[in-house]
Amino acid sequence: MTSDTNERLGRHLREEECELFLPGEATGTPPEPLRRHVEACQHCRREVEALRALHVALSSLPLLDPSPGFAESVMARVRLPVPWYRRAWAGLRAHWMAVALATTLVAATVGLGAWWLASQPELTLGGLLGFTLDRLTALFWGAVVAGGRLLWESGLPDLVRGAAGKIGVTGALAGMAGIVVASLLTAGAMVKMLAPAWGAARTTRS
Amino acid sequence: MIDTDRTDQELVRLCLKGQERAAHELVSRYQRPVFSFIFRMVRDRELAEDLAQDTFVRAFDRLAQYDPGYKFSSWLFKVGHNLTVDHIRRRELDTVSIHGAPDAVTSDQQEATSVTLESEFERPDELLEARELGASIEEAIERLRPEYRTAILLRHVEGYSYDEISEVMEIPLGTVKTYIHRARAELQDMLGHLRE
Repeated sequence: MTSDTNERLGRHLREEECELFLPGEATGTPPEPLRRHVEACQHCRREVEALRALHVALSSLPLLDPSPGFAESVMARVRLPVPWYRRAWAGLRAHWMAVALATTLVAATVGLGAWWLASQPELTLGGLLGFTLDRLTALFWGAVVAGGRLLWESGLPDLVRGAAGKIGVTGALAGMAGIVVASLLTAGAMVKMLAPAWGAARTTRS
Repeated sequence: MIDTDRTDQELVRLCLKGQERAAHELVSRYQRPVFSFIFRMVRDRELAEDLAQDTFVRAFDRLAQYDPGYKFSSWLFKVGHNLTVDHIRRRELDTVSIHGAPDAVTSDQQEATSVTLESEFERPDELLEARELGASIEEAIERLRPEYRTAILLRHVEGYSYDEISEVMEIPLGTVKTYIHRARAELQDMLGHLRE
């Protein structure tokens, strides 16, 4: 190092400072003191030039060609995702007779129902809805009563009463807590299992 | 009809709709960079072709996981890098010259195992000089540790930014800078005779 360069920077450039002279390494140009030093210091200039030569040599390495037919070999192995509407369309085309028959039946049923409703002058929309709601409510309570009877006749209440007598109140509470914990763990595992698929679906949509 | 002017993201969207032409266009677009990168990592033409094929097949299998917010090429290189590194870890590799496999005896065998280089040189002396320099650099790269090799190839040959390399290699930005800095230093040591 000459006394001149010592006065400018006081030392030679460090390796990482030399790298700032490579394209794309520094934002903008290297700092002014470094540039002035490189202009004046033969040693650092040689270091920077050697580094630039390495960069040029590496950047000039050619791209290599795979064998002819590489793309075709890849395409023979690629299985692209098929969107749901294409799968559905393919299913419709494969079973078109069944689809046509089902469509005709549904259309005929709906059409006949609409024609019958239209031919009943005393039937209003409110009356029809009220009638439907009544029937559904009766159906629901009927199912609840039938389920309760079935449970009672199965002997399950006696079994539970007998078990509670044996294990005591603490045991029963601990058992219930265990069931709650097991349910939560199961729900957590299901969420964990479904999360990647949900994430993938969101990524695809975005 | 697939337009070659379409962006990678547009082609990916078409692939997700099942359009094979879009997939073919992506393969055509990236087969040389991906193959070159993998070949320079493993130094075996046949193996590099297998790994490059696996890279594309795996990428298309997992296309739904690709986030269009990122560069497709970075994501593809990440897939290729992971496959190649897994392979290098599993197996101790024999090295091969770009002029052909060491066990190639006849000229036909040498030709079959050598790599086709795209040449930009018109004059024979320029071509010879570039080949000599290129061969020295290829050999020097081959002697680097795999992680240094990946980082230096992505930086200087593929022209990736430090951030993109960090993404491809799945390592912190500081580690990328260290790898590249050390790789450059080792290459300069190995190629010291070219500075004379």
